[in-house]
Amino acid sequence: MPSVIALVFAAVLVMQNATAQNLPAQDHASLGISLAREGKLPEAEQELQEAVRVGPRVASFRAQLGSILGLQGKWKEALGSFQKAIDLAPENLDFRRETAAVQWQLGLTSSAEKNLQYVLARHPGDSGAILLLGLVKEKSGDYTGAAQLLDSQFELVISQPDRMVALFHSVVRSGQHDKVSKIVDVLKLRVNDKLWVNAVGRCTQIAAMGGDLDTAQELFALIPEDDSVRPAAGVQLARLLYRRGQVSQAKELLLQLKEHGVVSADLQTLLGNCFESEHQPGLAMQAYQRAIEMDPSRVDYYEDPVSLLLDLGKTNDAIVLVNHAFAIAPNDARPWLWKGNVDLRTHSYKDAIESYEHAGNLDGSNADAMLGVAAVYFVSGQSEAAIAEYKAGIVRFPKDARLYVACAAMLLASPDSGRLQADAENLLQKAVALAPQSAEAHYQLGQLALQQSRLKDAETELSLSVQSDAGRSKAHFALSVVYRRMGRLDDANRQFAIYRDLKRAEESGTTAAMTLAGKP
Amino acid sequence: MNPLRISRIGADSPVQTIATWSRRRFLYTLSAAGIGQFFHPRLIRADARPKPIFSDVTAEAGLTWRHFNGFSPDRYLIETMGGGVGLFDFDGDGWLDIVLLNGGETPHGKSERPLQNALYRNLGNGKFVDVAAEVGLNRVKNYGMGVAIADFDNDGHEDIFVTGFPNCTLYHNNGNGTLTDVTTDAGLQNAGRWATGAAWFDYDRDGFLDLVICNYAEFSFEGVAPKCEYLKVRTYCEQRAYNGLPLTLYHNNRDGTFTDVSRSSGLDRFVGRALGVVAIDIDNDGWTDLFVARDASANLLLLNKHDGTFVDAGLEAEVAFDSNGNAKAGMGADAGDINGDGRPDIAVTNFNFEFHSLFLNRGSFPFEDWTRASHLAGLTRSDVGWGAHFLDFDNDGLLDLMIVNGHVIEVIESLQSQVKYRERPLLLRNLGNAVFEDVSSKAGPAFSQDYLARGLAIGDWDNDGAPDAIFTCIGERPVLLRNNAGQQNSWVGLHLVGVKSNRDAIGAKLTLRVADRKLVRWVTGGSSYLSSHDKRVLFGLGKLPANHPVDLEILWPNGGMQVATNLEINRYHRIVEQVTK
Repeated sequence: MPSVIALVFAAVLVMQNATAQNLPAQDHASLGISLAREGKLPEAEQELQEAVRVGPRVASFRAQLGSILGLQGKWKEALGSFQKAIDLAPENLDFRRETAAVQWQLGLTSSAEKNLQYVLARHPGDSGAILLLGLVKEKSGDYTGAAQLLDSQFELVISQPDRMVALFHSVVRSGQHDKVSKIVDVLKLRVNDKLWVNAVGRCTQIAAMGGDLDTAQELFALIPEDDSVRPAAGVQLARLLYRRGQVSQAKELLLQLKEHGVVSADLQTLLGNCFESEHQPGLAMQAYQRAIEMDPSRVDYYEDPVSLLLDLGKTNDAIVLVNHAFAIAPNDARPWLWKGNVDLRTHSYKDAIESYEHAGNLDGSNADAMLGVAAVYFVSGQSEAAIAEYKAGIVRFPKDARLYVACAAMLLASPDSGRLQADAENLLQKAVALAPQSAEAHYQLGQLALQQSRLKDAETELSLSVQSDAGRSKAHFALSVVYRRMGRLDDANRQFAIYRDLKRAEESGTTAAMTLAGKP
Repeated sequence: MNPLRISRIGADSPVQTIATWSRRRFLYTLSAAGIGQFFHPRLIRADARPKPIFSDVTAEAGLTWRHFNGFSPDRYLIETMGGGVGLFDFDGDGWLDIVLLNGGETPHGKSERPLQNALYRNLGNGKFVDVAAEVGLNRVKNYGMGVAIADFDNDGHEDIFVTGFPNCTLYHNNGNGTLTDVTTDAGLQNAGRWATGAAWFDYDRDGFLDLVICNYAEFSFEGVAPKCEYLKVRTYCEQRAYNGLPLTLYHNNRDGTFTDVSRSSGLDRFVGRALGVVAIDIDNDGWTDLFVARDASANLLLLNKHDGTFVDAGLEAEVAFDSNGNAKAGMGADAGDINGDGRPDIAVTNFNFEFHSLFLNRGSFPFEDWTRASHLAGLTRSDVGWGAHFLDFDNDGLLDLMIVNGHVIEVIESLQSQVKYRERPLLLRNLGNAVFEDVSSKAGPAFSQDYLARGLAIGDWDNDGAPDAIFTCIGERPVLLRNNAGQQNSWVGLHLVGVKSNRDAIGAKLTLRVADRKLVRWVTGGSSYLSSHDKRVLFGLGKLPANHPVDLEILWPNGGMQVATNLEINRYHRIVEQVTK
């Protein structure tokens, strides 16, 4: 049970709030509390239920019952009991705090916050309420608020691993990097405590998912090699390394984990991604195959191998995998998306549109199907139809950055791009606001700036693109053009060399896909 | 003897001119004198009818030859790439003749009849006759690709270099109506390579033309061809299935032989799939440079370093790749001053959805990618372009652009709804400041038909001062076009004869001043796709009155400057290089 709840429950359990007229009920209540202290919670619950039956208008009995129910994880019943206690004694701050704790547990964050704000309005220095409010805000996504509140109760936070994780999560998500190091220092001191190792593992994952590579690496190094949290943390760290373009380091880490006996389909999939990036499609396919074998019921693991087979031009093998995916997940939209991709690759455009539309009917919650349909229009030369599809997608999925980027790219690729630049830029700015790490959005913004001879802006945007994804030749090429125009020839040559190597590798995969038989 | 030739004027003067009247002008004059009725009524009636910009006169001219490409189930890529054509005065009679190169047989693509090249002699009356067999050109010795025509030995007769696979051939024009294969003696075989475009140019300014050859890809008819298919139909593979080759550069030793200087010049470093080449002084330093269009390989802008070597400035000029770092499928190329700033700009034909490119030369690097601003992007979006050449079809003083197109994938219309297999040629009129409009709908029936077109040559084959054209088609007859529009405006034509410079004056820069205008043109080597053009330079002068003379400044390839003043318009002038003793 979350540590904060135990803290507040303990406070309630010591309350004695009965009147002389409720003595028989009080006896039950007192007995219940004693039993609770002995750890006999079901028996304690029974006594408190009786106390409530006999003295239904005694708020404290309700609250104590709520505490005991909460200690047993019976959150809904606990909430009911606490709410009745508040009905009977609405100004009781302890009851409010308890209720908030249970509401937080149940994910009823706005209700929890209301109760805590009530407490803090009357008792602003209530550290328990402040702490709990911080946890509530963390759960509801107000990371800035959460970080501020939790940080103000730092001494309380550092006493419990869960609270520490909550603070770290809030700090990372709200970008308050200056607070990270003191948290890491605390974790370092407590890493020999088994309870804290789990927290370190979770914080590693949080840092990795938040893109803080240095912190993630620092924390990962604290986790003992045989600890159960290491695999998940390691895979997240490897994922971040991969996304940063440090593919060989990512691969090395994954292989180390593998050598230490970590058996994980996610690990295999990410390893496959690494091999793909290094243009070793055979090894990539083996890794993807292992992921599927480890967890054959997870249709997720089919996506990357299908995509790789299509890149290699092995459409027949791709459709075999897609059919397997259909068999295990007949009502899942994703196999239909992949079939659409196969149809597109084999130039069966009508089938592709049908497949994507079928995917959209099964799962209309994301833009994948619309992106697929637009891709068919684009590949078959129907640019206007593609743009119309993207625009319709933006209306329907206004938070999906991919649509903005794709639409902007189409506008900029059109013969009339000169007069469409403002529209394209507008779309790209929206994309970046939604997805600040979007390599393609920054790339297109960089190209726009280059066309307008805004070289400094072009350098900034293209550098951001490369930072987000260092494996795309075109970003390095564009950067080389910028540097050449700036007269920075060494930088230009360096970027061009990177572009040339990446381009060669990209084209070797394409050439393999083009021909079905060997050259003469 | 040309019955229309008028006697020389001022044989001792530095500027020797021979006025050559066009057939049409002669007929107009006679008709005005009331004696036109003695001529064939069809000729007179034809002049009275309103005409499209270009007339397709292929049948009327007697061009019956057909290209053979050895089409086979193996789909060797070479089958879809050939079709060179040249316009040149073979016999020195003042009329442009036509050479047409055949392709060849492939292991499973055989011809029912013996394959022949064609050399159509211009009879001066709108008709041509094939004399290839008589002159010694008819035999197809290799799989033929393109032609580059020039007077390599400065003897006054145009010679013919034929590119192909696996060898090239050099025909010396003996001046007596015959050609001699001098390939072996000259050392120009370019053996074992698939050669495509070629250009004569004098890179070392020694007065003799050297030769650059574009080589395309490693290729063989032996073994199994790369196998590609779309929608289960076997098609030609994309070019990336074939490895590129280096360029070849031959230095003219001035004694009928050549030396392969590919290595010493540095040109052998440029490995890629080269197709089109144009030789022109890009940076105005008086030395001829090269622009090479390459197919899914970076285009090259080879600047002449004056010491027998070249440096590639394609990256600095930003003409090598598109903005994403992709090498477009560059096929044909031409260079000319399309915006009137006196600097040569560059056009390149590419694949569908790539847009044919237009680069404006701003006098420094980078060049400006003018593809969209010129409207070329929108006008060529769905086309696969090959031959391309600037020409001032209406003689208004602005260079227009003609492009011929045709796809390579037979099933393309099932894959891309907006792309066709057989495509239409384009005539793009320059509206000024290098913005073009499509006037193909007014250009004549040839521009509303679909072809698998490849080579395109431009030249005034009827000597009326309006540039005409001929283009080739895979596996079909060529299309000969006669320009009906250029006579509506004034013009002046220059035929330069080098003395210290190479006789063809390839590399010369001509600057014409008239009223408040300055027009700049060059005598280029190569250009378009696999084709060779009329080396005379035509300046369109718009509505300039006939009695308004013009002044001309010539920068000869060897660096000499010469001025010709008060040149009469609406005629050709033969200008011989003045050499100070």
